[in-house]
Amino acid sequence: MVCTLGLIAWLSDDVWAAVVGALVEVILGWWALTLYFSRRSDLNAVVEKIDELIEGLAADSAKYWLRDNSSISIEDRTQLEARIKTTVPHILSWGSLIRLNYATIPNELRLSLQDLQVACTGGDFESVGRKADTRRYIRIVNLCHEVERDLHALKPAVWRLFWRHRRVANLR
Amino acid sequence: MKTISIAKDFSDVPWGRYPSDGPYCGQNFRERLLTPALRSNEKVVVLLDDVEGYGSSFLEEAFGGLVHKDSFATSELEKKLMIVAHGPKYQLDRDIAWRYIKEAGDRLAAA
Repeated sequence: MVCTLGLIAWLSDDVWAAVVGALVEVILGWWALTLYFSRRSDLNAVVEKIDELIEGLAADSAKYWLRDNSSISIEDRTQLEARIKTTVPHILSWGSLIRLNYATIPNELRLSLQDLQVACTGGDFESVGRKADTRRYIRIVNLCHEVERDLHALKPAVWRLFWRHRRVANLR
Repeated sequence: MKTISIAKDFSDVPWGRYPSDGPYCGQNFRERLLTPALRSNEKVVVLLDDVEGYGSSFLEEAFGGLVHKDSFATSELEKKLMIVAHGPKYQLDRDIAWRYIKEAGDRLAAA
């Protein structure tokens, strides 16, 4: 009788330990998954912001590089030049937010952004006698696609799940 | 050692390549500040920060022009010139400036 009771108590201790262990595992797993998907959703929000900037850059580049200076007013030209030359550095600021909080930025993406800035603001950019440059515009569009493709391939790094430098609230 | 802050010593809105594009163009920066500093100092530090933005045309004329117009060797510039950028967006400009210096050197070597 005593032995049976002891066996039941021992078993029930074991069962409880197993139940508690399983529960803790489930809760931790659920927490980690929620954290991962929340971080992934934040990363997607930043990527969407960058997508908007890239689309704007492609549109501005079309207005700028497909026409000679003589066919754009000075005011419009200055606006386009200011917007074009500040967009890629602005994208890089978002990129450093991604690097600090979500994912490693691959070197190819850095180089594509550098190429994009050179293509958008090189050559006769800001020059008085600038002529339309279709080849340059096509290069810009290709680089925009490359940057977008590399951006959408980013995934949150696991080691970034539990550490972030800055809160990025209000992005979604 | 000489330090040149583009924002403080030249303009916080550098613009264009040639003087016909405006007074704060790449050619004027190179001819008035950068080349004389490199000729008379052992080491020159150029600070890129605090400017509203650079066009690559400005950077090409200012830094690439050191090689293809003012006849500095790339190896000499690697020793004498230090381009400093603190903010992430200026680090792109620093990389582009060095890229233009190296491309100009490669073009000269190939010619």
